Amino acid sequence: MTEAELAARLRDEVGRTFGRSLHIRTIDTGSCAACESEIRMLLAPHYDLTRLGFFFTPTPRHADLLMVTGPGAVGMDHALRLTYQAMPDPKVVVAVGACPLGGVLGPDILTHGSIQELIPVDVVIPGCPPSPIALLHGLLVATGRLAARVNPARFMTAPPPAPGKTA
Amino acid sequence: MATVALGLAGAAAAAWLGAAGLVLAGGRRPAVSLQAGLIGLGGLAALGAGLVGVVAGSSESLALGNQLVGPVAYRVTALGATFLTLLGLVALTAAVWGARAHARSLASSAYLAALALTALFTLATLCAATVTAFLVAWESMTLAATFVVWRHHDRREAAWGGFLFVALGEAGFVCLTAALLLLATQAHSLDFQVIAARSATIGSGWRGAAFVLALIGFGFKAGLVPLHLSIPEADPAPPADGSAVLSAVTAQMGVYGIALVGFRLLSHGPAWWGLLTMSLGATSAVLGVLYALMERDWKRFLAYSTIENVGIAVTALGAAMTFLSLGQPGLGALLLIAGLYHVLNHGTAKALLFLTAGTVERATGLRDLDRLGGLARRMPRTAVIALIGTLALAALPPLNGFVGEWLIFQGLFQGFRLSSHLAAVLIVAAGAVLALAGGLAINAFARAYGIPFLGMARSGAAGRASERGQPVLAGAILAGVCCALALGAPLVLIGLAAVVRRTVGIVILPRLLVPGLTLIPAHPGFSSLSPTYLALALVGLLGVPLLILRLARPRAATRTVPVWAGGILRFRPRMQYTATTLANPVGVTFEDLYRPHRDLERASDDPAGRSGPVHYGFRLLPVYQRFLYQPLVAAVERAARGLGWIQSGDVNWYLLLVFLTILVAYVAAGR
Amino acid sequence: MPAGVATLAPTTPAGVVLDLAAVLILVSAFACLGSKLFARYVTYYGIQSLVLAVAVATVAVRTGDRGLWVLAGLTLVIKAIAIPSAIRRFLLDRLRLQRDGGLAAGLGVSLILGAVLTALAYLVIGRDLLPPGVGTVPAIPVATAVILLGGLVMVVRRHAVAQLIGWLIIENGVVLGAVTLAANFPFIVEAGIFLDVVASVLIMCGVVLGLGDDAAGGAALRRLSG
Repeated sequence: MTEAELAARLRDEVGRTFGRSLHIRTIDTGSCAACESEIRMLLAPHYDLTRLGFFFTPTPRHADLLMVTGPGAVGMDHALRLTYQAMPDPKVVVAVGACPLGGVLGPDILTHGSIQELIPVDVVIPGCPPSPIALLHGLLVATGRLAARVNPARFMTAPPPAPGKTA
Repeated sequence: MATVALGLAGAAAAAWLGAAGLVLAGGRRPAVSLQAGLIGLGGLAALGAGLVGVVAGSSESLALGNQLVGPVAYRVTALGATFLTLLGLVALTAAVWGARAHARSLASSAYLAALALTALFTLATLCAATVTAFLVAWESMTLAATFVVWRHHDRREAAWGGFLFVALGEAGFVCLTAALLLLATQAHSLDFQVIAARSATIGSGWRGAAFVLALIGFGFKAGLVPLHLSIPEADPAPPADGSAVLSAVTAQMGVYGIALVGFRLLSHGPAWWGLLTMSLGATSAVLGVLYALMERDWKRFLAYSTIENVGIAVTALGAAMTFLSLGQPGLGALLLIAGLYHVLNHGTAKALLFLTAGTVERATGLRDLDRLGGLARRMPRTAVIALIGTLALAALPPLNGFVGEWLIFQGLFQGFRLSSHLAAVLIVAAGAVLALAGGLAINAFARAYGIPFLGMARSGAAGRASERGQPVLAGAILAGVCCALALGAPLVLIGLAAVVRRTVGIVILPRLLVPGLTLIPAHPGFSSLSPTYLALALVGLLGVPLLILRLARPRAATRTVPVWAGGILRFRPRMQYTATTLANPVGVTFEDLYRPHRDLERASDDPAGRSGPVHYGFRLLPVYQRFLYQPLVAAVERAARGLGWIQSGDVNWYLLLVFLTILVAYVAAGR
Repeated sequence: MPAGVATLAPTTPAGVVLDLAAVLILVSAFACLGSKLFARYVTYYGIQSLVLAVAVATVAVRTGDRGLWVLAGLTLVIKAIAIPSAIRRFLLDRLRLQRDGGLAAGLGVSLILGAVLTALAYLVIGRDLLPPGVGTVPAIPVATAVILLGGLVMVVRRHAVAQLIGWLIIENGVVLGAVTLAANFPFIVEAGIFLDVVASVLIMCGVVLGLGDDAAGGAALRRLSG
């Protein structure tokens, strides 16, 4: 898929199901900030994530997606757990980069190595760091997962997701 | 009916005299509870006397004078009866609080005796019908109240506060003695009714001088800026029941005095009297609340709030005088009613808040807002009571403070109906200043309620507070009265309209109160309010979200998680807003007025502060102290130093001075 | 009331005695003012009190008032005899006082001031202070002059004992004035004044003995400020 097609599909998906308003909360559990730079580049005019309906929010109370980077430093345990708990359902967790999957650091006294034992991860975007297109692709998958989690009885305006996409 | 009021007042006086006398029976087992009980009974009797007086009008006068002291008479007038109800209520609730709060010691017994004497002499002042009786009772009230302030005389606050109270009280007494004696000599009578009847025959220069002197004299007691210095120093010093009596009753006796002189003794004055009074009131209101916002001590904050509210009442009275002298009797009467209503509201709510602060001080030992916190969970009943008092004083609907201030604003907004443009502009300006004061008051009271009661405890003592064994009933009674004053506002206004009818002779009741419990204060078609229905509607509206929550709650399971605080490990009390923080925006905006003194000491100039502690000090010297009191005191000290050479130390010099005085007296008498 | 005063008019024998007594009292006051020896102060005061007793007795004879006889007796015994001897014994001999060194103004100046005060008493004071009809009694201005002279003694002397004498002279002047208007003053007032005098002498003796000569002499008395 080219970048333009990806963007179009994201826009449709987010627009159809979520009314062009999905909020992302990022949390860094000890990464080298390369993944953060790539995520930040999504907001730049070239990719412009906000035209697709994604917004970054500092508070997990307003967030639908949690993007986690870093190998799960022990010092961020508490913060990660609280952030995950503070997000209201339905939510989806996206692990960005190789670190949260255990691909860079092994478990020792300072890090857990991967975050998969701390919080349930729904979508992984591998790469070190992943390119923006990979990030967009991962967001597309995450949006689909999130749409599947939404209870049709509560969302009155959106049509139910197509069968086969149910998680 | 009329003698019932006087009889009840006499019963109250007897009860209070008895309570004061019981201190002599002290010794090993001081009868503190009995004293408190007598003070409460006296309060009940005074409340009854006031209510009867409001309904039935002036009573017979009790003439006690003889040739030696001149005419001395006591009478329960309608205006006096209004304040008498407040005195009775505050005395009753202060006694209820004190019965639980005071230890059984001789010092407490003496203190309660002083409190009873204060109430007694306040009653005498309110019922005095001649100049002599009034002046003697006023001075005695000041002296008795000074002993109330000196309860903890070993503390610097009480010593300094008591000194200021008596010193400024004396200064005020001199002014108002001059005013009343001026009126008495010009009217050739010492009786208030005769003076009132003959006031039109007194020359306008004398009347003006008497009014200004009376305004200054009563202003010292009421707390009109810049004469208010005794209130923030003296009112916080005694225990909470004394503070309540001082703020809710004694300070408002100044308002009674202004109303007495402006509406009874010297009615129909020129417009500039009312405009002067109104300007002083408005200035006091806004300066009072500005300095209240900067206070960390809870009781000093409440004392500054007293200054603000007295300023509002005096503004209403001044505007009433202006309207009356410029040919708008209906509006004048409305503003007088509104001013008296505000006095009642403020007295009730201020007594409530002082008693609550006292309860908290007993439970935690703290008065500093920045050390309290989280009391709503540990002292729930006190928190609810304090909330009602705070809403009342911040003038938020549906409570009594809102109705009173709404009436005042409605009256002030009618300024455009006056023929004199200057008066109209000044009245509207006063309204604007009161609006500013009202907004700042909301900030101030949100701070004064939120910091101590909400959030987490900021110190160990606050975290260990408990309501068990603390006096709560008194505050509950006053909270009930606040709600009653709001819900029953039409009844209260009927009573106050009767008082105004008897004092200035204007009837506005049929126009003011229409069927359906609605007030139409100013002009048909301008505005209307039904306090009763508003209160019921607000309470009802609160039920709607609850109803929605009940019926339309989503059926999924709910999850309870801690408050989101940035994912930190533990939420510490030091991370909360402090009282200074909540007041800081106002402090920065009005910095030119406050001109605080800040000093900053750093161990080094390293911007990260790594090489040592940073000391930041903030000191606030009020503007009137810097530009009025300090120069005055410096001038007096300079004059005293200049005259110091007389005290040379030589006994022959002193003898010479005495001898010369005798010589001069001989020669002068010989002429 | 006027009757008692009328009998003391200058033409009657009683009136003559009273006038002479008044003049002698005035002269002795001047003498006190003009001397510098402590012994002389006390002597002149004694003479003055003796003459005063005589004057009081004269008035008592004329009016027949028993209280005045008692007063005359008391004046003689206490003021003329007891007080001077007490002062001599306890103060002058104990402290060995002889010459009074502390004078705020010289003797000449003091005498001139005394004369001025006497003239003042005659010319300015007194006419309107007296009850009507008494203007012809010359003892009244003398009494006023004696009071003023006693005050002057107190002012120009620095020693405590001298100031005590000055105060006693003032008392004598007051008594003289009082008995001249004898019918107007009840006995109780006289008795009160007497008790005053006795008490003050006792107190002064005690104080001066406690202070000692140099303190009573004046250095400490010049630093009496708070």
